[in-house]
Amino acid sequence: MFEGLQDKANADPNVRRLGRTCTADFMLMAGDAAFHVSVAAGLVTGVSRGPFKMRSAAFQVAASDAAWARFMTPKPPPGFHDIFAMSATGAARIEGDMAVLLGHLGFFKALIASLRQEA
Amino acid sequence: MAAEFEPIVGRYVRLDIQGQPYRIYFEEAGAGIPLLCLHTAGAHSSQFRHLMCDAAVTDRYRVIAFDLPWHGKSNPPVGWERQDYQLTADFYVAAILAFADALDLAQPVVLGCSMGGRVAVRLACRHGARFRAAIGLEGTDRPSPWWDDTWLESDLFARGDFCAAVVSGLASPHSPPEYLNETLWHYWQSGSGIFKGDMHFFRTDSDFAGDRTAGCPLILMTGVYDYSCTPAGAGQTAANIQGAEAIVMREMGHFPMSEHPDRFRDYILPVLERLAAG
Repeated sequence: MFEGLQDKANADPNVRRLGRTCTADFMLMAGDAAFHVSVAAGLVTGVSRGPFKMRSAAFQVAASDAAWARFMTPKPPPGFHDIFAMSATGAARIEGDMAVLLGHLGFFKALIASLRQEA
Repeated sequence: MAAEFEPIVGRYVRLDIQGQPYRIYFEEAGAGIPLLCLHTAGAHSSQFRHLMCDAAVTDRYRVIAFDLPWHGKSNPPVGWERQDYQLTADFYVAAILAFADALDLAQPVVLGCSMGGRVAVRLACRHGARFRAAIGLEGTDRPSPWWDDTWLESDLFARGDFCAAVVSGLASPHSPPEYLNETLWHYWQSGSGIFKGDMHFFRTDSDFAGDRTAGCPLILMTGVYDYSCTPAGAGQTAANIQGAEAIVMREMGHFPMSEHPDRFRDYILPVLERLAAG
C-alpha cells in the first residue's frame, strides 16, 4: 500500500519544502500491515513493512485497505478525502504523539496525499 | 494584461459594540436588498469577493461583508496587547447587530459560513424580526467537535500555517486549486491566536439547541465534504427548528463561497431569487 511513498514524496519538491524542518518516524497501517516511515529534513529516508517488534514511531495513522484505496483516488468520496475526515467518521485512527503530527501538519498531509493517483 | 477594477469598494466605520469603541472594515458591491455576509473563524471578508463580483447577485442585492474585530483589517479593541482574544456568542451577536444598525440596513438577508452559519441560527431564532431571512452555510445549532479539545491549548493554534492545515481537509477535492488555496491563505493570514479565540465560540459557547423557532426563514446549506458541519447535522438542525430548511450541496466543502464559487452559484442563486421574490 505504501511501498511507493518514498519515491512519490521525494519526487515532489513542494513536499520536501513543507517538511524541511521535520525529522520524525511514524507509522502507517493498512489493515494488519504496518509501514514504518522515516523522514529527515523533509526527505523520506526509508519505508519498511512490518511486522515490527518494539519499533519506535511518533504517531500512527491506521485505516483499512479499502479506506486507503478510497483515499488514494483522484477525487475521493466524502469522508475519505483527508486523514482528519477519516478520523472524524471513524474510518481511520490517528494515535500517538500528536505534537509531532500537528507540528508539521501541512507537511504530513501533503506527504501522505502524494500517493494519491493523478486524475 | 489590461488593468481591471472589481466593483468591490471597501471602507471603515467606527461604532460601539457592548459599549466599547471599534473601528470596523467592510466592503460591499451592488444595490438592493442588503445581503450581510459573515466570514468563518480565523478568516475575513475576502471570502465573499466572488459574490460581490457576480452581477446575477449584485443586480438585486447590496452584498456587504465586514471583518469582525481582531480579523482582517478591523482593529482589535484598544488594549488588545493585554488580553487574549476570545469570541463569545453575546459579543458576536452584538457585533453583527451593531454593524447592521450603523449601516442602517433594513431587513437584511444575513448569510454566514461556519461559525457565521452557527450564529445565523441564533440570529434567526432570537432576532428574526430584524432579518428578511438567514442563510447558514455549513451551519448547525450546536458544536460537534471532530478533534480533541486539548489541542486548543497548543501554541500551534497561534500559527496561520497550522490553522490552514487544520481546515484544509474541510474543503472539497472538486474545488479549483486556485480558489481552495486562496481560501487557505485567509487562514494563513490570521493574527496569532485569532482562530483559537473564534473556536471558543464555535466549540464551547454556541450550543443553540434550545432555539426551536425561527423568526424569519432559515436556510441551512451544507457541502457533502464537510465533516465539521455535516449535511446530517444541518438536516437535524433544520428538523429541530420550525421555519428552517436544509439544502445539501454536492461536491462542496466547508467554504462554498470561496473554495468553489462557480458551483456555489448553482445553489445560492435560486435561494437568493426566491428570497428576493418573497
